[in-house]
Amino acid sequence: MASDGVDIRTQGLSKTFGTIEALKNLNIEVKKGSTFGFLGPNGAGKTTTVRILSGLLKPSAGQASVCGYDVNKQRDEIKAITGLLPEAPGLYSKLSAVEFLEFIGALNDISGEVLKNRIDSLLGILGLEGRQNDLLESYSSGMKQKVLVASTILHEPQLVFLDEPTSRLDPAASALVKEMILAMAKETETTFFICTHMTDFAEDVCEIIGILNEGILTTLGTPKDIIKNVEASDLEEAYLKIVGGEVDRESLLSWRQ
Amino acid sequence: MARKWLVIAKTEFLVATSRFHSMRKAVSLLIVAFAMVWALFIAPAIMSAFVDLFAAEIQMILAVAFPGLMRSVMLLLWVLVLIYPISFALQEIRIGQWEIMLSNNVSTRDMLFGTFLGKLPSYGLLVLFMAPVLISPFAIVYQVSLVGQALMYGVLYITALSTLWFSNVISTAIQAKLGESSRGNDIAKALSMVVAAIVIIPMYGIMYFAGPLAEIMGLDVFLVLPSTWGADLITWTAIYFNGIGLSQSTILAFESILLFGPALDFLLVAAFSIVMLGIGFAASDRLFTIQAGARTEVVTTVGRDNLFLRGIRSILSGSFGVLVVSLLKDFGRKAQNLSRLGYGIFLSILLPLIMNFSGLGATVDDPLFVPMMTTLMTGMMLSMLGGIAFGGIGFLDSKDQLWILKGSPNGASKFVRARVASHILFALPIALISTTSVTVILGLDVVVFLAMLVYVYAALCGAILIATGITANNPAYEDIKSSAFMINTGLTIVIIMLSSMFTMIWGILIMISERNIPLGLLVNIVPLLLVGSIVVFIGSKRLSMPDN
Repeated sequence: MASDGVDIRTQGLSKTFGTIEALKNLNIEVKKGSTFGFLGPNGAGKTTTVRILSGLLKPSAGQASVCGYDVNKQRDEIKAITGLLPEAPGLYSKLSAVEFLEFIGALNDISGEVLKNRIDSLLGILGLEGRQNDLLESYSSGMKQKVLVASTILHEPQLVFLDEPTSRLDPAASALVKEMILAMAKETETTFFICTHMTDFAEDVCEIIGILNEGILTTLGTPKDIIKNVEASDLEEAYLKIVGGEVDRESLLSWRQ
Repeated sequence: MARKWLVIAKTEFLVATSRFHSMRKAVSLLIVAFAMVWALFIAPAIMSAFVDLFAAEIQMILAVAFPGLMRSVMLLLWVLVLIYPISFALQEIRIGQWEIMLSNNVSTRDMLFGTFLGKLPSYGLLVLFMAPVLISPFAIVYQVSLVGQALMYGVLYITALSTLWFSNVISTAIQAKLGESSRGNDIAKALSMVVAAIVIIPMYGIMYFAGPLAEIMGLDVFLVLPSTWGADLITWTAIYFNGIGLSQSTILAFESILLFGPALDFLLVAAFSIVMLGIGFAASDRLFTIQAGARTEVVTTVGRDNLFLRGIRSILSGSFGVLVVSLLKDFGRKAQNLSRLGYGIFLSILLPLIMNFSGLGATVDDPLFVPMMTTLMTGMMLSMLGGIAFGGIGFLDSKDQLWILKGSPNGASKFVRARVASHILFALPIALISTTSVTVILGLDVVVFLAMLVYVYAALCGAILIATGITANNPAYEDIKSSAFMINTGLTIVIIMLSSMFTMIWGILIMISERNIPLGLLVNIVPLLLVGSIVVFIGSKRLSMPDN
């Protein structure tokens, strides 16, 4: 299937869980080598979208193609060329970072010297070289997240889905991941689809941002355009204006009466 | 000021009864009402009928070995009340909840007393159900008056309560020591299995060796156990309030066996209760000390792969070998998995031993009977318990782990294949330990040993296929309280049992009529392996499917 320079294309993509409509009629296009940010409150449908696009979840309606492959029919092809960083870390606590990455490499049919060299390089870049043989059970949540980031890009995917990549990282590690995304997007034409709550991170990294609220894509555009359209000073203010949730200080203290 | 211990106790009760939700009060009342009816009417009636039915035998046993038997029975209750709360508490380390309580200025004494009170309803019910079964045969045979019976139950309850308090103190201390970490949780779960195994010994002892156990328990050395003081006090109560007119010489005979008089036993029971209470309150500040955090806990660094793992890598080259080795490491490094397998080995050895040493093995006059039944029992016991250890909790840690596996092409089916291969490798030493132990203890010959080893190993492999298939079909992760885990465990046991028994009669007939143990065992094992292959195939397919 030809991708026409577009890595993700959805048409009327919807997902229902029983009576709950998690995603309603999503229509987006993400260009190859671009960085797409998906913003929205908790339960907006971001993770559901990622799971459908990465072939883990069946859509209830609509069409979607990822790197030219149909999400309904060619899931294994999609998985082979994409990487997924899930929202919560599902690491093997009794494996070391090296052993876990070997395991992930083997799942993606990479082994031998190529895998070993990649693991060493990635752990070095992420600042884990001194702890690479320690069991993951003793890692902090930030270190676990770094290992997961490494596992996501280990097989050099063409498209990477990142679900809250920096939520557990300290500022330095967050900046490192940010730079890594920008470098990979620019130098290797890797496409990134990033779900996040961090508006400043999205503003810095993403070329196009979609804001999802209650399963509906309410806004789509560059960070600058979004900020300009709602007359906000930055993306956080724009996000609050679009999604709601602007702070009223008086009501915040009403519980004390 | 609100009594904080009461708030904690109420919360513990809400947690314990959470599965009833809105019907909590009605269900609780119903259970208590049934327990009362059971304790006052049903259990005494059943035990009375039982005593009447085997009047001569039971009366003889009770007359001869009353003190020893009462000590055995009380030991079982004591171990149950002591061990089970520890075992359950260790399955869920709750340091996070302690932090909330401590940050809300709750005293550690309130925390200790509140958690103890919170456990009372469930373990109180356990005692309420068990007490009449344990006490009424003695009360019936000795025709103990109502006042005497009330005192017997009173002593039993006081012993049980002080033991529960003691158990609460121990479990709190262990939880604090282990801390809320991945490693601590793993060790705690492993310990919970080890302590649970302790309950088995007095239970099987009473089931199969009532006579010898009563004799052993009559020894003076058991006077150090608090359960013995309670048991002896109950015995004294039954003697003093008996309605069968025990002669002075009989009472004197009891005195020589019991060694301690009723006053000393009473003092010891009371002192144990008070001292335990004192120790608990005095040590509460130390008990609720939150220890290791993420930066301070023990860090385990892994070394180079050992010879065995390197061998597997070279035999199973490529990605599959890496997967198998990774999963062997992941499974083998978890203390809880090893503990569960140890428990399986322990039970698989214990049952044939009991069968032989309790005299059941001698009931059939055929030299083939003991090796045949031992092999079948060891195989079935190990396959059921091994199946749960390999399939249930040893399969996947979390849903997030599953997302990672499913995120790679054919990841789920590759994982299932590698998991099965790693478990089958792991099962070999398990089968070897179990079979060798049984062979050495029972003095079986080499041919029987080899036949048993092959059978037990094949049974374990069949169980691994079944359990892995069932868990892949309905992953339960590490949550042993989830309905998925309960269903999987039940299904695993039922399918393994049915598959093992499907051709068992035929297999036994071949062994007896043809005098051919290997052929009989082969006939026995085929359905288990066949069903296992089908179940794991279905499980693997289902796990690979995208979620709906």
